[in-house]
Amino acid sequence: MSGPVGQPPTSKPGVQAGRTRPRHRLLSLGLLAPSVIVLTLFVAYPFGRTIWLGFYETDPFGGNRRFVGGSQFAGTLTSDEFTSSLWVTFRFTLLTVPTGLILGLVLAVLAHQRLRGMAIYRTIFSSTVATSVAVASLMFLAVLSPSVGVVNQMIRWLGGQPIYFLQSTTWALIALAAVTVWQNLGIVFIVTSAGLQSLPEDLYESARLDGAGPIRRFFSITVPLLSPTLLFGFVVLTITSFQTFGQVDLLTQGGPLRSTNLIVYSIFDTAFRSFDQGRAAAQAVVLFVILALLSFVQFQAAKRRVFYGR
Amino acid sequence: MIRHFPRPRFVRLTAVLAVGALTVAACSSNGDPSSDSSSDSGSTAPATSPTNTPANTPTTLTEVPVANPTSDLAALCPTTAPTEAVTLDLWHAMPVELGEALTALTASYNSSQDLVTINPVFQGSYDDTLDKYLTALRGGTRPGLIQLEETATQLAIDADSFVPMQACVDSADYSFEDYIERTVTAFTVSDTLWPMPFNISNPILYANAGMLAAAGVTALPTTLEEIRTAAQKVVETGTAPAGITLISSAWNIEQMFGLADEPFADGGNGRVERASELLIENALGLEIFTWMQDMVNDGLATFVGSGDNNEHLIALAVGQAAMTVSTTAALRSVKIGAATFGVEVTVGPMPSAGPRAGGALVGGGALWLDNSTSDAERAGAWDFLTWLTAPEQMAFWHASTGYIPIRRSAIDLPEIAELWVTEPEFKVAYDQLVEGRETNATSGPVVGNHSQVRSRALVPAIEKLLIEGLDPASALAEATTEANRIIADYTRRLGN
Repeated sequence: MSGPVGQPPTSKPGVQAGRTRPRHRLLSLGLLAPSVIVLTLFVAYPFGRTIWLGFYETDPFGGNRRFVGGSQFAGTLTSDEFTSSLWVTFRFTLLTVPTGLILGLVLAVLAHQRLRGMAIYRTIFSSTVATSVAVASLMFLAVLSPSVGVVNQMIRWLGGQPIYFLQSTTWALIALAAVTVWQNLGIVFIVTSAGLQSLPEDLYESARLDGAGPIRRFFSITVPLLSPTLLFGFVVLTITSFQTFGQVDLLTQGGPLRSTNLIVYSIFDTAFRSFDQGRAAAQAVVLFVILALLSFVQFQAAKRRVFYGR
Repeated sequence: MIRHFPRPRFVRLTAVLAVGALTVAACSSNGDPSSDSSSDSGSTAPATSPTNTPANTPTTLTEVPVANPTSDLAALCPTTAPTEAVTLDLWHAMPVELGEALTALTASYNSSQDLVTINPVFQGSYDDTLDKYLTALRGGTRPGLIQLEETATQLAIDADSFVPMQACVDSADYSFEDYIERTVTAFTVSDTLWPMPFNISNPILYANAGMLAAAGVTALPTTLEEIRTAAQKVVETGTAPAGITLISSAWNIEQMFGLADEPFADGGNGRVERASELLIENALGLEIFTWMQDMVNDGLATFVGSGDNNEHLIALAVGQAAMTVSTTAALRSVKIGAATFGVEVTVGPMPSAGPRAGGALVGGGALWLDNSTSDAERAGAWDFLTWLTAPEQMAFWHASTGYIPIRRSAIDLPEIAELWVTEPEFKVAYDQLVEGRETNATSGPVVGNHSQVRSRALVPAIEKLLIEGLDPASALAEATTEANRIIADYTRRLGN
């Protein structure tokens, strides 16, 4: 996209390129420098350092490194805690990603009507984007409280026993998933709404003329045409679900019995509560490899099902 | 290198001498130089020996450290009156009202003199404060003073980055005569006082007075057995859905060991030598765990998780349960909360598993002096710390927070005398503290990475006991194995 478009070449491209290459190269290096420096400082260096740290064991204060080879990496793969955290994180992803995508899409389709006052609904539906994790977590803490929460008050009115959502190994992860889905609703809503705006009206018109009902139109036109947007949402939600931290820290601290010990929280716990930086670094590297593989598989699998344009 | 000081200056008494404990302690606290020659060894059985059972472990009495102006330590902390202007950051973990009270105190100190300025900086929870400090150790800006929880004691000693308070005590020839001895001994390890005790608390029983009366419970229960009887009455009469709420608090378990005068860890509770294992797989541990499980299984208690979100206190305030156990530092907030719901809360001492042979442990926090400070800063810090723990300041601190005043004469000041008349609940924790006998068991465990031992070994064991129904003996065994592994791992990494 860099070359001038629509201009006839003034000389043989090869000759010109050969003559100006050093200057171009200098210029491009200069232009690239800021991002190269920023990426090196904040991405490449910390990343390299994390891998390096994984080979050393520190004293409980992060000093006096001792080389221990790959034992911390091997230990990570075989540790019950790490594998159980991975498993919890997978379950958490399954609970949050499809639910979040479907709910966001449904809300977007509902709000994609030209009705009076729709702007108000759009504002409400997208408002969770502007809510911080801390606020969302504290809100759910109040809503789910066994003694004073609205949910349990309703259960009591209906004659049931209160549910200890955050204190039960069965419910805690579901409660965390609920906070997360609620929190993600805004971004999914905005992204899918934007996608809906760009869908061509003529397709719907001809489908209507062919006698397709709203459900048929949704599954045969909206979903396929929206698939790039949905893939984007899918990937972003998966990544954020693997990065979930705030909710866990505020609501459950990984408990009870590690049932909500999501992977990033587990790494934090190893690094800053056990003060074991080497082991935490090894865990982070293993997590990186797993995520890289997962993303690769995701894109490969999605390639065939995503429709990028007519 | 400040790690372990061979300081064979204090008499260490065995259980044999327990009868004369108080008189002996009083005598030797005069700084009698003859006690200096006493041997450090031979007073305790080797606590790490595998054949050692808790019942046979001699209970060693801890003593208030005595100032020794001629010690080598004294040079570390010149305590002459400050002569040059210094500013010290004080990192603390006191949120909201507690933080406001602390800030009021430092402001008052700053305006009381011209040379020393104390700058309080709130750093989040105790864990967060410790995290930030440990991170600062590797090349950041360290505070002059930092408030750490009692679980951080061994870690902070091992960090090798603090000036032991003993140095200042020695150089100032300071006397702890007016302090409640136990608050000082709790932070004394191997005869060295490490931080200055400051915000001291212990757990107490909170009860809904109206509900207990309605259920026909006339006296506040003081033992686990009495709690069970009271809970039965509450549930049978339908007064509340549960008699008591239980939380997965390791602190409460440690407290019950202190009340029974049984050490929680070996090495004289980690106070004579480094602790390597927990001593909870015994009759007392089994009694506590069995009691908890039976209470929940029989529908007399509700398990409400960690208590971090104060679910147990909320349940009490709204009448979902008639009793709970929580820190005395929550007293002011609980009273306000309960009043909102029109509930009258009454408080009593922490319930014990059997007879109260020992005493409630000294919980809470203390102020540590960083060793990156200059001589002038150390002198300033010492001036501030002695001012802060003076009776007037302790009276203010107690009345505004519920933390225990650590000076005996503070309770004669009008501020406290009047408070205890109008709100006698505030006296309970103080009484419970001063009533306790002074032994290594009641001074509380000092264990490497104590907070991990709690959160990764004890809390999961309680959760397995109460959520999954694991039998008490296996839960204790799992807790012990995991705790010992954590301690061993920590100790091994110290040697790196």
